[in-house]
Parts: sequence; structure tokens; C-alpha cells
Amino acid sequence: MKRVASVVFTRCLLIVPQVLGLSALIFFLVRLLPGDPVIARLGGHAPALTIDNLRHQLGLDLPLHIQYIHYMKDLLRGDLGDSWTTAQPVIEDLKMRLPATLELMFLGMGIALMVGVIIGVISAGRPGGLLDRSTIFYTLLAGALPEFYIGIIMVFLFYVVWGLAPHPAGRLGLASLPPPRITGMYLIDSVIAGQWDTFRDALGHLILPVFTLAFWQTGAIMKMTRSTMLQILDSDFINYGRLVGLKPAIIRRYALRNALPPIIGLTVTIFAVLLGGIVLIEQVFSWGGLGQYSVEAVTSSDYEAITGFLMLASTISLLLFIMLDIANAIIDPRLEL
Amino acid sequence: MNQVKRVFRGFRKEATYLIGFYKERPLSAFGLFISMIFVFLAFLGPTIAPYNPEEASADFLEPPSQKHWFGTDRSGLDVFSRTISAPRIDFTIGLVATTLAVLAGVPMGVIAGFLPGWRGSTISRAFDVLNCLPPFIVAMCLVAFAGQSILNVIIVLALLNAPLFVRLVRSKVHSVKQRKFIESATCLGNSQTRVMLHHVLPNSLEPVLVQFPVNVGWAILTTAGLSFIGAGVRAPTPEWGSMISIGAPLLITGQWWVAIFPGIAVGICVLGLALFASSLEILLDPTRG
Repeated sequence: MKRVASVVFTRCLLIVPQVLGLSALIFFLVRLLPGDPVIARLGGHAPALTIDNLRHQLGLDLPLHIQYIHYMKDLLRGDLGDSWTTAQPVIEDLKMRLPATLELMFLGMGIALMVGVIIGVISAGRPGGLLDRSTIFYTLLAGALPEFYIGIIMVFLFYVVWGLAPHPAGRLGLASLPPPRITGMYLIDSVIAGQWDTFRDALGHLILPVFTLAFWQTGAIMKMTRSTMLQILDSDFINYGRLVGLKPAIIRRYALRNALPPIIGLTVTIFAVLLGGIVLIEQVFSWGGLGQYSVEAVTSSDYEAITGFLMLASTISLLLFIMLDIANAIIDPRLEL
Repeated sequence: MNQVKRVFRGFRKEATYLIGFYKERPLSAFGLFISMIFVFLAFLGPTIAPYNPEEASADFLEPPSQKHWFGTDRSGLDVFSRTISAPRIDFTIGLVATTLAVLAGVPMGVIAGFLPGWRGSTISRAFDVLNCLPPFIVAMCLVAFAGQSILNVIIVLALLNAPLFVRLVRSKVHSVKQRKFIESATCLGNSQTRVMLHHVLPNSLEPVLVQFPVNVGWAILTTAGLSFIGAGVRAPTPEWGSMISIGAPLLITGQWWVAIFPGIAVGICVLGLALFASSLEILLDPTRG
């Protein structure tokens, strides 16, 4: 227990410099890029006086390090600046769009984890079998196809050819109104409000993007599960269990428990990569979540919006890494820290 | 003369071994074959294409036929010609970006792994922070703001790839450093620099070689993604991602061929590179087979 407490303590101490480093990195990265947010906002033909005024108003005429200090002061008050395309505080924009992305991500990764772990465990049980070989083939295929292409194929097959899925644009059909906002996730909100038609509609719209995400990610999880399981099934303590005469099902359970840390680790480390995939998948399905927001922010040179988005994404990522370290310390007592 | 003969015989021995190796593993051979086809297309794709990949014609949106194998798109561009011309852009971006990333990442990794104590781990911790940045989104920002050109895509992908190679080399250096022959080299009076360059470095490159084709594939996928959202290579240039993005809205109206074929090409290319990479892994460490 003392060991875990010390891990929690040191990791939490490390957060401060890491968040500072990240925020500085993101801030200077976005600000130092060529391109001028004021010109982007006013257009190239604005009179010089207007440009200077706006620049002064936004504080962009100050030296860069002063701008950073101002930005950090606002950040501590929960203010990420205003987006000029939506004319709203960036923090409000992010809050509004986050649930759509989370809904997609939770469901997609949930399915990917479930299917990936189950199939991975089964195929490790009989290496070289038919299921194992098809698993390897699927893993290779899913890793080679771009995620947005998988989405497009899904749209083509399920909407254009078979007509099973609703029109792939947005989270609800035209006939439905969003349920009263509580969590922002339509599935949960419509259940709370008891609007079953909306629930069905939202679920129908979720299926294709969720399966796209799941199809794309299951391969990596399956591969990880399979190789870790193979390694563990070959280890001394499992062989001992076999010799003692434990049932295969029990052996599999012991092995899986030992295979979990690397699988959880993988899920955390692919979070940053996952976000990139979500951006593209949201683009295919006009999802209106954070991913699409970031693309709009980039294409319209909305600097505050993109800085805010990167801050949010990388902070979540950092927190996940910290939670992973702590979880590993709890799960694996052998770990030296 | 004898020298030349010996070198030649050595080559022949290696070649026989390689041929035998790939004969035994059809999947690996398939990967090598595909990778070679795409290298070939990167050189000669636009030359052997039946139509100019960037020149519009009057045949709009024709379905696949004898005349246009993969059909034509909205501007009358021949999809087949564009699909086989694209490796020149995609493959070049992937190769150059990965090479640059290796050139930048490997020295950093060797230094980070070789430096004792806090200096090495500081470099590592700094790179851990970089891992929190979503790579695709950073690439999107950098390319969009720095200007959409092939050169910018290459630079950005190289920057994003370099930390991976730092990490790979660093952890390998850590394990190589512990081995007996490094200790012996130090005991024989070699300087630290010499030990690092002549003994640790060559023995730490194996994971880099295996990772190289995988990363070329990753760079191709990322380039395609960037172009898909309009932040990568611009439209008339034949590039798989931008071709898919041109074809995506047409799918809904039934003109499937514009988007489907370039996507299959990306899939085959990246698949081939991955298979090639796994065959390299076995070649470089036969005990793993």
C-alpha cells in the first residue's frame, strides 16, 4: 500500500511540470506557425488600421512570452479564449461537442476490446488453427486500410447497396429532435427522457461509425492479446498449473489475468492515435463532435480553437498515462519503481 | 581479382540463402513482391500509365470499361492512371519522411540510452510528453498552417516519427550496454565514444530496420488521411487519399469506382510493407522464426 501511495505521489508531482511543458509546447507550436490569425479573420484586403486595432485588441502585438503568460492566466480560470468562427468561448464549444465524440469512442472501443480480447484469447489457445490464421489475416488487413476508407466502405455497403443504415450524416435523422441535454450523449439522454424513437434513431446513426472504429481498432487489440497470451501460456506457472491438473478454462482465466496489464496499456497508449482516427471517422459521418470541430478550426485558421482542442486532448492523454502507471503499480506487485 | 571473386561468391551465398528463405515463406515473399511492385510504380508509374494522370478529359464519371479500367472521375481523369501514378507521391513521402526520422531519431536514441543517470532519463521524459500530443492532429495543424506542399508533409511526418525511433534505439541501447562484449570493449581501453559508435550502435539498429517499412506504411496512411480532409497533397496531383476524398461523395450517388480503387491500392501497399517488415524481423533474428 505504501508503494502504491508513493507512486501516486510522485506521478502527481510530475503532472505539474508535464502540463506546463505540454501547454508551452502547444502554445508556441500554434503561435509560431506561419500564417496570421488577424489576417485570416479579416481577409487580406482589410485596412491596416483595422488590422492593427484587432491585433491590439487580441493582445497579439505583445511579445510571445507575455502572450503565453496571459494565456496561462486565462487557462487557470478555465478560459481558453474565444473561437472566431463560432463566436463562442472555446471551452463552451468543446463542452458542447465532447459528448458526441465520447459516445462514439466509448462504444467503439468497448466493442473493440470485447471482441479483440475474446477472439485473441481463443486463437491463442490453438495457435496455427483456422481461427488463429484468420485472426492474423484480419489483423494485417485492418492495419493496412485507412480508417476513413473503412468508413466509406461501410457507408457504401450498408447505406448505398443494402439500404440498411440511415443516411450517414450527423447523429440523428431530420425527423428527430435531440433529447433534453443532461450528459450530451444522445443514447443516455433519450433513455432518461423516455424518448424511445429518438433512442432508436440515435442508435441507428451510431452503428456505422462505431463499427468503423471497432473494425479499425480490434486488430491491434487482438494481436496484442494473442501474443501476450501465447507468451504467458508458455510460462512456468501455467505449466505448473497444467501439471497439477487444472481445467483448461481455469488455466485460461489465470493467463488472461496476467495478460491484462499489457492490453490495458495498449488501449491507453493508442488513445492519442485513436483521436486522429476519430477526426477522420467523424469527417466521413459528419458527426459534429470534437474531431470535426478540430478540422474546421484548422481549415479556418482558428488559432484559439485549435490550441484549446490540443490542450484538452493532450491533457486527457497525460492523465490516462498517469492512471496507467498507478494501475500497473496496483496490478503488478513485482514492478520496480 | 581474387578479392572480387570472394566478394562475388559471398553475394551468391547470401542470395541463395535469401531465395531459400522467401521460398519457404510464401506470405513474406508476397510482401517483398508487393513492396517491389510499388517501388517500381514509384519510378515508372506515370510513364506506363495509359492516360495523363493530371489531364482532364471529356469522359466524365464513366464506369470501369475496356477503355478506362477503373473508370473516370468527375473531371474525366482516368482512375487507373492516377492509382498507379500515386506511388510516386505517396511512396516518396513515406520513404523520405521515414529516412529523415531515422537520421534524426537514431543519434538521439543512442545518446539518450548511453548517457548515464538523470541526463538520459530527462531526454526520455521529455519525449514522453511528446507522446501525449495526438500525432495526426498535430500533423494536420502543421501542414495546414505551414502551407500545403509535399515538402511540408514530409517534414511534418519526419518530425512526428522521430520520437518513435528515439524510443526504440534507446531501449535497445539499454540492453546492449549490459552485455559482456561491451564491457570487454571498454576494458580493452576503447574510448566511450568509440564503444558507442563501433560496438553499441551497430548492435542496436535491428529494431530500426524492422520498424522502417512499418513506418513507411504509417506515413502513407497518414498522408492519405491528411489529403482526405484537405490538409495534405492538393487535388490534381495523383495521391490516394485525395482521390478517395474526391470519390467519397460520389459513392452515395452510386459512382463507387472513384473511391474504391485507390483505397484498395493503399491497403495492398501497406499490407505488403507490413509483411515485408515481419520477414525482416525473422531474417535479422532467426531464433524468433
